[in-house]
Amino acid sequence: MSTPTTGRRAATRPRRQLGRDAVIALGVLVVAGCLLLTAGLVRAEPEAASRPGTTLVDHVSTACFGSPAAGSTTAQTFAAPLPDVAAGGGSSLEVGSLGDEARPVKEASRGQLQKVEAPARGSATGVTATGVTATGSAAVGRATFQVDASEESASLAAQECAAPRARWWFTGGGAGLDHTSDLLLANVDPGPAVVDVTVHGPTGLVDSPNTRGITIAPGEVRRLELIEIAPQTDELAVHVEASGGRVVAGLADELATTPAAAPGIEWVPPQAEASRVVRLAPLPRQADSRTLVIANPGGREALVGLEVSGASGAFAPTEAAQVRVPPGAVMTTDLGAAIGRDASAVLLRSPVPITATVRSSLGDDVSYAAPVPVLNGAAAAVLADNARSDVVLTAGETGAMAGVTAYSARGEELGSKDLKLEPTATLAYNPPGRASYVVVTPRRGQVFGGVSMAGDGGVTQIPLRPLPVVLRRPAVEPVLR
Amino acid sequence: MRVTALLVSHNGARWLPAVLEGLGEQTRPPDRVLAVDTGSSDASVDILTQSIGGESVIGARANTSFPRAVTLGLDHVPTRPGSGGADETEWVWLLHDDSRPAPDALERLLEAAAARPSISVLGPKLREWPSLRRLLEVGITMSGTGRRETGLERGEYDQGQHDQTREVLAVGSAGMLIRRDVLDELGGFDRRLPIYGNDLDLGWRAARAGHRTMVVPEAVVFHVEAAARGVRRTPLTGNHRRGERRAALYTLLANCSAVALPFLAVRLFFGSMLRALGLLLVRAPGEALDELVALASTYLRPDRILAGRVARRRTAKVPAREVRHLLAPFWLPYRHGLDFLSDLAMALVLSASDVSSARRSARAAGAETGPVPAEAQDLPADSGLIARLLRSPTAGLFTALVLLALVGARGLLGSGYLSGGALLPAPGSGSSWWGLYLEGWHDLGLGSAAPTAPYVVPLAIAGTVLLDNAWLVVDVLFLLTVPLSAWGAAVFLRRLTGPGWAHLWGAAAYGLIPVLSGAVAQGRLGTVVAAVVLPWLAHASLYLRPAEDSDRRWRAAWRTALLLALLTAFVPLAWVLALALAVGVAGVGLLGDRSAWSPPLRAWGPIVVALATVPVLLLPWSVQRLMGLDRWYAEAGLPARELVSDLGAWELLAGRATTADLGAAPAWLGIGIAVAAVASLVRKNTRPVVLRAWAVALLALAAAVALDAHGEWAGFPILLAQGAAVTAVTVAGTGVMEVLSGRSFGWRQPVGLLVVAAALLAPVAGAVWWAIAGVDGPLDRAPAHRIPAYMTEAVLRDPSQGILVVRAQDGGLGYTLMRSNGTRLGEDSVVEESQTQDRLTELVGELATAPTADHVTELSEYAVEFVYVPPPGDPDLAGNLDSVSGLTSASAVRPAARAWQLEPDPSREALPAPDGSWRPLFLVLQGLAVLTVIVLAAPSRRVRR
Repeated sequence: MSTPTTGRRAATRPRRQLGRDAVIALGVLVVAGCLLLTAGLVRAEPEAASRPGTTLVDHVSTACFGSPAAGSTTAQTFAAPLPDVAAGGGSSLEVGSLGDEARPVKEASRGQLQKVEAPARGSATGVTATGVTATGSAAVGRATFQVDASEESASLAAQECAAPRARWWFTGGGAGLDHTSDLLLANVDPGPAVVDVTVHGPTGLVDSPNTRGITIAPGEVRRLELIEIAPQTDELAVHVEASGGRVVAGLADELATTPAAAPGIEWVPPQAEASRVVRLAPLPRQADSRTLVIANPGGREALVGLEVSGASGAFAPTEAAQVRVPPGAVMTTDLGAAIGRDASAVLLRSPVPITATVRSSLGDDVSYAAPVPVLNGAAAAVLADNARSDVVLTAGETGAMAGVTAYSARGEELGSKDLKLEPTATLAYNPPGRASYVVVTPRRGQVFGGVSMAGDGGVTQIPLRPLPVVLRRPAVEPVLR
Repeated sequence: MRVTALLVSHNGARWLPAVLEGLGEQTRPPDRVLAVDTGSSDASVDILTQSIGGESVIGARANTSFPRAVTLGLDHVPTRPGSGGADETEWVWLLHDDSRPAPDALERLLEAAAARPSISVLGPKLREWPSLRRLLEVGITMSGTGRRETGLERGEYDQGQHDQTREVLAVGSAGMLIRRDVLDELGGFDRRLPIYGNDLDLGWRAARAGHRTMVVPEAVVFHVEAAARGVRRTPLTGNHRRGERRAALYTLLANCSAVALPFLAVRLFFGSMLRALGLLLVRAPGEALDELVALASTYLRPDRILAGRVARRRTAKVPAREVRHLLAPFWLPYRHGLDFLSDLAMALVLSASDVSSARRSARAAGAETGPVPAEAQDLPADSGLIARLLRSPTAGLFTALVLLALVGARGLLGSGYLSGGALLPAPGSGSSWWGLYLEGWHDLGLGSAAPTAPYVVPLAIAGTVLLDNAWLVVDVLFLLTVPLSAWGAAVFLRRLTGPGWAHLWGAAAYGLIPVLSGAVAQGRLGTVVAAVVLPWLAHASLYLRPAEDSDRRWRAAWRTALLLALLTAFVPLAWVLALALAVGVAGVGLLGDRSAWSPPLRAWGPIVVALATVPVLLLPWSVQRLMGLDRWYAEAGLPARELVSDLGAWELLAGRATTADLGAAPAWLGIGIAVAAVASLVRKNTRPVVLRAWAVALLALAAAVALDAHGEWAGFPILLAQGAAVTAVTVAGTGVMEVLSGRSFGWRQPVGLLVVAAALLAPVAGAVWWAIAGVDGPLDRAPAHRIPAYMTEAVLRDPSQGILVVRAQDGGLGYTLMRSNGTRLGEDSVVEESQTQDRLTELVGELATAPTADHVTELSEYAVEFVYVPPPGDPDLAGNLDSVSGLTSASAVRPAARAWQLEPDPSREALPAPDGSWRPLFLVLQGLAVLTVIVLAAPSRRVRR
């Protein structure tokens, strides 16, 4: 007989046992959870079938236009002394007037400045162009310039001999009484080029049906006088677009600073594309006037913000901090008061793509600040004889460092300096007087600029653009559609 | 009239006593009874001797043919010089040892003979012995194909419906009453027809000799047809089907008119081939072989036919056209053919055998166990097709989904080709697919001998069925993928769950996966076809369980192999997953109930066959892809990696193969199914099936995660995982409301209701999203290509020209070497495999970077005539191409496009030489393999005699 116990009563319900199926089901859920977690964690590495690569430049073909003032054209060409360029095998250098057979010239060693002269050619249109073609190792770092010092007028003009391409923008031309410009087009390629030329004036796009579909035969040089396209218009922007083939284009500009003065001659520096950010450099330290010329080729009004990068950084001028440019129009703004005597550059920002330049005049001569790119490699510029040269460099939003080295015509290094630039600040380096050219190597940060030259003969500027060293080779892959 | 009954026996002891009894019971006994025994090894001779006396039994050797035995017997009947009167006519009554005459048989025959003195041959009505009621023959004739025509339905009961004394071509030799002089005149039965068909031949010859044959239905003889049924084996019977067919061919060729002979010979030849093919298709390879052997043995001995014809010419007295009315009408064979085809079509389309046997067994089980199972309950009543369709919820769902598909795909209707994303435009005609598949060397791009992917074959077949409209195949697949997928899913899920509404929910939820996952919007052909095929594959593989009967398992194995091969052709990964599943099943089988899986060979055979046949069916592509491990995870169509997005847990959970910005539905819309799938594990009584579905889902998820980690499209594993989840939910959800309402009130009820609501809403939300958003992705309807027409025409005219199409694509350049008017669906499988294009790729890079005239010359050696840069053209590329000599600017037609023509004449120097001569061999092998598997997978045909 059992005695009743006191205290808690034991549970009478049997404890539930998990069945085998239920255990498996739980296991299934755990595995599923793990898999989903894994999926959330893994990240696929994109498979790159072929990455874009680079290849050393093997062929550089450039052309310079004969100066309207000078009888013959003398180009100065050199292969910049770059530290990591191996001396390649076969190379050649050819010079000739376009349309004639180019003649090979003896190639100077790397670093030596070579003056090459193309025989003047009796051209029906009165314009000539010199073609300089380098192949092989001679093409690597090849830079060719033409500096024209007119004896008749006190004018200094510099031209960067350019490689052909499909699109050109020139802002700052004119077709008035005191300001005339000629557009020069040359085809250095073996096939014909077909170009459309459009001209923008202060009131918008100029109707010019005759400038569409101009065919330029291989070796041909063509001159278009803007006065025939948009007569009596002082400020013009010219757009050249090749629908087939490529051309080298140049805009020769003559501007009389005063009605009585002899016109100053200059080459308007080109811009490849209209863009939302335009860096204009360098501005000469000394100028009688500075005029900002902006063209807005788009269909919407451009509200352009202006900053000046001075020695201590960028600032927005109290006047002309914003410029309104109607659609299709060319506008000018006087910058005279905004810029002092410091080395400086101008930075424009616009919600719609624009093109621009700053025209400076000193005495009877004019010069143009070119739209320059941020340097992603070494750049070079020749220095004019008998002129004071300033290498003017501006830093981007972060500070930058760039090395400037001056060379003599024989390729000897005459001086070198590393410029440390505060953010958005502009510094100038004055190379030794004997120097024939400078090489600027960006070391850190964003840097852009140009070389400003002023002498008795006049003023001019040469923009700094990266030298042709490597070509970006696009990633190519076979596709099925 | 004197009648000699002539009984021919061979091992007929089983029937002889009854036969002799019948003979003895005759109301008009024959005047003499003779028996010829052809070497019986049983008691036949003793029985005969006892009954009719030893002197009336004539012994012969075992290999004595029937005609010879008759002749032997007749030799013992002295011919009396007759006076010519009807009473003096000598008659011979032929009997077999398996034919028992009714008591008044001879009397009725003789009555008829007396009433119509012009009749020379009379025959009784033959009824089946031992059933006694079924009609066998009431006179016979022959059709143009050699078929023995009785004019009776098979197994027709004798209700006097054919009791009409009439003239016929021939009567059967069992019970035949023939005038002795006619038999002598005709030379007896043809000895070239030892067993089968000699009666027909005799009747035909008699008719040609001007004699008439009549069937007398009042006289009845019961016949076993022992030889024809294979019950009797003599050295002469051999294969009875072969013998019968051979006799039929011989009879036709020997008796037809000379004019008809060539036509008939050709017709019989092709007719026999066709029959053999048809027999193969209905899984009767033995019969097909008999047909072919009979044909060969007849046609290889033209001398026999010639001799037969010479002999017949001697006895013939009336022209052939006068007996034509006795032959079967010309349309009869076609009628038979039509009947056969319609039977076959019904059997194949409805899988009549499977369904009906499943229903029969279900019904039988129901009768035994009480409540009638769903399958049997739902048997269609005898009503019209339309009425059934209108009442069928499945048809209703299908119709609703078709309408939804038309709304959802509204942006894809119109003219042009469906293409974009991973889908290339369809070729101009379905026959192009056949060409692509059959040819060994493809002049596409650099030229390729790569085996065409086998998915082109089903596309080609579908294209042919749709009247050569290849575009229609792609349109149907992509625009109607939802109803098509749902249809298969409804059939599969209904098989699992029985009738009710759960399988309809499952079908809708599954059908929407291709659209909601983004597969349709991205033009993923592989996933879309997989969605349609997968339910049928799952359905077929259900019958692979060892519990099924052997015949059905084997047929299911072949059907599974066929469907898995079809799926693998579009999604090679499917085979790998199936292999993994089989390994899993094997593991469970070995660990669990081993008795179900023994003996191993029998239990595993069908599963091994189903898996191992697939690579054989897909030769030679399978060797390269599956065995060579070469992109075996890539589905049909372009890889389109730029459209593959990195999947997270959220997408996988909701069954999305891509993210919402690349064509999939928002992931939250599909969470209901995931929740319900987890909840489905709770229900106990369905847990075993649900766990199996979960196992499949886990495997598929693992595959999806692996593909996702490699940046590959994971459409198929996600479809499989989602399909398995839907299956689990459907199985667990069948009758869930009853279960819930039966529970006592507690927390389980509201939670269960919430889960059910979430699951129910998921497909509805998906359908609404689809109807509103439409197909919003890269898939679009557009012209097949936009290359200037003058270029494509030049290329089509001269295959040694080509167009190099270079277009800018995410920072780089992509190029295509076009040899026709654009790369079309199916060609991707060939071009992709083509020889390394490294040099050409390099060359295009050089042309885009720093071209020289040498590069242009080299390009021309790839048989390139034009270079085309579609808009938006890369200005650097255009500038470089403009700068090089050897390229002339050409008309690009479209604004902002650029085109160049090469100055050097195109040559094929850099191209590989055409090859691929081995392809036909593989194609023949593959064709035979596919045909064999189709035959083996077809429903079993009950061979009726």
